[in-house]
Amino acid sequence: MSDTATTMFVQEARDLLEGLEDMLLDLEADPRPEKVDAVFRALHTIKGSGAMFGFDDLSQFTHHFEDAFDKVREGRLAVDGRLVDLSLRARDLMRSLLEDAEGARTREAEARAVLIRATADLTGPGTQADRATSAQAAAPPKEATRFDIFFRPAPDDLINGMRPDLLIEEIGALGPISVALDLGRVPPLDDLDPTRCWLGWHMSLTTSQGEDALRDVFIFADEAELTITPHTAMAAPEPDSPAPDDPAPARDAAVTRGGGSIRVESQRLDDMMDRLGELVIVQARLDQISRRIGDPMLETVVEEIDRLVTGLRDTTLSTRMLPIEMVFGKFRRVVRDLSGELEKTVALVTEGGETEIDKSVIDKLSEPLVHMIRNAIDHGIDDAETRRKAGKPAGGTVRLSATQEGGEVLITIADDGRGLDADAIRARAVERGLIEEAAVLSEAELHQLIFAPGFSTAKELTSISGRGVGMDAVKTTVDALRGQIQVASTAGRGTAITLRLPVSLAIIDGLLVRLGDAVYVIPLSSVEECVELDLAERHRESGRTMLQIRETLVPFLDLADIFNQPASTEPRRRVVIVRADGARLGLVVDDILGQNQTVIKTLSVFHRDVAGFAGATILGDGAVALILDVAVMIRTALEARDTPSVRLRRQAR
Amino acid sequence: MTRSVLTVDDSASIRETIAFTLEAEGFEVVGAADGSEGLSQVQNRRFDLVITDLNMPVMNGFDFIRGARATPNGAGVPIVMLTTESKPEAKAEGKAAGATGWINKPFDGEKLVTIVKKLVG
Amino acid sequence: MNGGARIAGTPASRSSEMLLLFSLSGETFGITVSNVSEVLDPIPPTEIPNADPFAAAVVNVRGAIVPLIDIRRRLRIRVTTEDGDTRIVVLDLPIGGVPTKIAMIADAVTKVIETDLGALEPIPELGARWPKKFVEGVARHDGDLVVLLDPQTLFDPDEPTAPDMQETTT
Repeated sequence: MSDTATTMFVQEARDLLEGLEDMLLDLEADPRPEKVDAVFRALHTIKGSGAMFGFDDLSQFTHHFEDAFDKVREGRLAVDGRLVDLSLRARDLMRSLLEDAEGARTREAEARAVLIRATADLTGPGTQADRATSAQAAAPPKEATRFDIFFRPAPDDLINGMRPDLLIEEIGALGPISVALDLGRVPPLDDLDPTRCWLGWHMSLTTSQGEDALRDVFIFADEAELTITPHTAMAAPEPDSPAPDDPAPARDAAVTRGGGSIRVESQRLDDMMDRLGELVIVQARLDQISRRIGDPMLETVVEEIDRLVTGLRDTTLSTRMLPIEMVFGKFRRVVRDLSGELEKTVALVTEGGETEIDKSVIDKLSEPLVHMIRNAIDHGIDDAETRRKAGKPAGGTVRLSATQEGGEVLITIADDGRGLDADAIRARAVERGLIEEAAVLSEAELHQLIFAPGFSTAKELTSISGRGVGMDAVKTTVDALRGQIQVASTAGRGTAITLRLPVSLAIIDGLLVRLGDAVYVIPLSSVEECVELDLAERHRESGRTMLQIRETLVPFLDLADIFNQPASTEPRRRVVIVRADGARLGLVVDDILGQNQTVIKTLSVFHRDVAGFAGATILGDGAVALILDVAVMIRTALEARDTPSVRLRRQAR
Repeated sequence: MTRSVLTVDDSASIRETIAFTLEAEGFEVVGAADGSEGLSQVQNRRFDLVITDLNMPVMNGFDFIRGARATPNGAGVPIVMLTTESKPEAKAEGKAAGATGWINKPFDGEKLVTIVKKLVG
Repeated sequence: MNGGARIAGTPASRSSEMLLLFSLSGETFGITVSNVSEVLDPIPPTEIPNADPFAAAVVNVRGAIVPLIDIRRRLRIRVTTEDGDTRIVVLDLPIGGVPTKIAMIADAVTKVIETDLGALEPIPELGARWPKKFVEGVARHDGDLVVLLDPQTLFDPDEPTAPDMQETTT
């Protein structure tokens, strides 16, 4: 079996198992025959193809569940929670048998046995799998026997592709043979349809093979007239039925193939994106040159190219887009398992699953979302009793929604639970040394603390903060995706956590700023406004200098300061107000140059540990500009709120 | 002359397996992802052998076989159906539609070659 | 005599190698041509604030953003001001298993020579100014000494840069 085919099978099986989980979850609510069939087909395909590609354990294990669903199809077994539970667990085990055949074999042999036993309990005795492996009964060697064979194909057999000559040749290979043609049925020439077969053959064969071997030669000729008469014994009974070990018919698993879609290796999409990035850069250079030359004819062409490149960019970006439903689907399972485990009734409601987001974002999103949903169910939603006392319905609801806003996708996980307890969070943060006892924090800043590393540990969390397991991991992932987290919570009413994520990771809109001779890019999605430094009054508050922007005080950093450069002497400097994670910060720069579309390139391993940069890009004039990592800047400012001058720290690698 | 095989299956891994096996036997292998793609292939040229799955989206194997038999290029060409079960109805239905033979999944290269040899020599 | 032993054990087939010779602060260094992708005129660098002085900037090499590396920071050579012959030697090296482009500053690129690696001498124990781990050995060419660098250690991103070797005066 070729490696490529095996790889393909693994991918197909993955997709099937992914779909199977949904189907099983659907089944519980709606056990219509079509849904049962769909489950059966998926299991059937995994069993059949698994055996072809050497996944014997997977195939054999799957066989048991295929049997169970065969019984369901035949109405001999009812779909209930127990069957769905077992099948979901079986599906997980199939997944690990697929991914790690060797490891799973040893590690999970026991789990497998347990599941098989449990299924057997459910399905009753005598499942097909129990008698599945029928030994290939080798016919005992025989002495040479003479057989008289008569063979007359059905009239349609020729048009249906049969080659009688090959069959006779094949019979002839079994031993010495003589063949005589029977023309008795050939009609008069006028009536003869040359596409139909009228001939028959008498053969006399001497062979040490048994009659079964002879019949095997004609296995496909089941419409034909065939008599085989051994000369030493009586004619054997007709073994007409084919191999018995396979169950009912099944359509191949429903491989989703939306309106003429194709599967493309994601590496190719990445390569395409890289090329496009370069094209955008060259195009910016072309723009600049064309402006300098000022030739109207050239400008027309350049504008046309601009338009085409923009179109090409949008199309290319859209090929990488996937509906967020792809991750939402997984959460039905999480919610079902967890509400069972915690004995809470929780419904999951999803909205906006059709919202599209870059594939690389989706890939990284599923784990943080699972964390957040777990937290919502575990610590946000109270038990039925408490909820009833609070005048809420006994069952809680977790609402998972997605929507696009400009260049960002907003994913919100909202529960109707007890809400965050601001006092408890503050107390915990002080205890953990995350904030000073006297620190003045806005509600948003307080809420952000649940994402701080070390804010809480699993053991203590339930009673105190209500939230926190893995939330710092959520934050890390969202930061890496250049996204932001917003928290809204009302005591007693519930909590909504919103992830703001860029639709695409490859190209962003940037604000170009200048500091000395250097140009930097600030992602436009985190820019709130730009003001002149002179117009902003400075205030001191709890040991740090703040800028007064209209009515509010905003902490600020001078880029020259954090970049370790001599103090700027420029007369009219600017402040860019950025926002991340619910906090605002002013970044002082020498000048604002304008906006541009920026292709993000990552920095090499030599610069990965330099804090404060999300990557770099190439400007129209060919110069490299660094892209600021706003979240890191804000964190730096918050951490160093009492230090007058701040340096970016190196990150631990 | 190189002999040609059309393999009709919605599963790329099965198509690849067949291609891998039969190319080693000197066949030219052409793939189609469902019955209707398969049918347009058959309408365009004559293959020495067709291998088709039965359960496919868009157009299933039975309809494909019937369609193929009805075109001049498809008459008389050996058509093997891939049966994922040996339930007699599916085979009987396939045979009635005009299939020449079948091969049960799972199959390995050896089994495939045996059947191909049997049907096209 | 670590270096000597290693070279003695090198198979004969690798004994002849093309070297690109370049100079830094008056010393001649060699690097195997197979690592060199191209030699370019100086490119305006973009400094990365707070970066290690060994890799203090990035440059645009044909649309790729490439770290600009000053190996003098590791070789403990004083940094003199650039003259007109400054070149950027672009290298393709596997770094941590990943093919990586690196732009290396050279005062001048002199020539390409063929040398017999079997005739490499280990760097002298005494009087060697360059950290031994960055050097494969010393070759003689036209009566001059050529220091053959070991790119794997020299460009190791995890190697700490000597803190005291910055901006020494001549």
